Amino acid sequence: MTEHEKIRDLLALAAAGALTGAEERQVAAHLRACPACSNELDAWRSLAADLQCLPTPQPSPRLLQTTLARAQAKLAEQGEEAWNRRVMIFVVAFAWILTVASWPFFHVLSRGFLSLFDPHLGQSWIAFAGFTSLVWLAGGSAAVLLALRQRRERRLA
Amino acid sequence: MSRFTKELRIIPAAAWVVAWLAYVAVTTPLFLVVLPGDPDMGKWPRWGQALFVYGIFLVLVAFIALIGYVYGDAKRRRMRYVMWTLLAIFIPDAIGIILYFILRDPLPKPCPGCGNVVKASFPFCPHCGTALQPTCPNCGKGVEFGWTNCPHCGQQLPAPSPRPA
Repeated sequence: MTEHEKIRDLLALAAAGALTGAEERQVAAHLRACPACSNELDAWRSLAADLQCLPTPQPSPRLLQTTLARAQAKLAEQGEEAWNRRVMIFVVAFAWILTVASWPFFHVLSRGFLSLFDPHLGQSWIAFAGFTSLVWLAGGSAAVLLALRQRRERRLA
Repeated sequence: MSRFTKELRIIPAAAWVVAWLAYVAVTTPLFLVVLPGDPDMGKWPRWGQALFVYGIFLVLVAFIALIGYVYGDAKRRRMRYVMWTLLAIFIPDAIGIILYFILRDPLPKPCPGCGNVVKASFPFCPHCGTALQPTCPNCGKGVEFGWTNCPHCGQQLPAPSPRPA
């Protein structure tokens, strides 16, 4: 695409006053050397001025109400999504706190009265950590799979 | 009232009662009987033992409160609240609660036709038949504004009318 063609594409936007500062300077520099583009811009400006004389169509109250209700519903939905994200972060953090907090508790119990039932329970830290990891791995995988499935279903619902 | 306070009110009073009763029932024997006899922690000062036991078990109160929240929230969303409460209780490490928050349904909405509360995913009100969301004219399944084709049957959807009937 030549420089001339690029500028021609911008002329309608220039007439509507929708160019950026850099584009305006670029168009102005080209117009000084190109009478054809200058004439075309005048035609666009004339058209833009005529369009501004036309009455602006007013939306019906019903359409306005429906659009407003739809926008409010969309905003509420976005607010709900943001809240759900915060809740998820809190719940995952809480689940980890619960897991970590249960370790010393388990330790106390295993060295205390539970040792009456199983003398080797006090040495089962590794087993406990392994169990926790397994639960998180299984639960995490299930959560990811179910979330993906639900997202697909909601997209198609 | 903040959003957090509103959400706290969803937790049934019975869940708070159970949470604090469980807290007292677990912490008291631990502090009075188990910890003094523990080979390691028995050497700690009593205030340290108290801080450990009474601090760490606040997590238990929060856990039971969260289970209560799952119960109340699933009920108001018209989900299977007994099943979700049991999952929240029995899946270890609060993973049942995480699953609940991932999979919970959107809040039900009142029908603009009859005012009955219905599930947000329903395309029609089950009580009065009012259309709650746009549907495909061919297969009748729910579609969204702005879609040009039905994702279920491929039918081309009519362009949105500027004056909805």
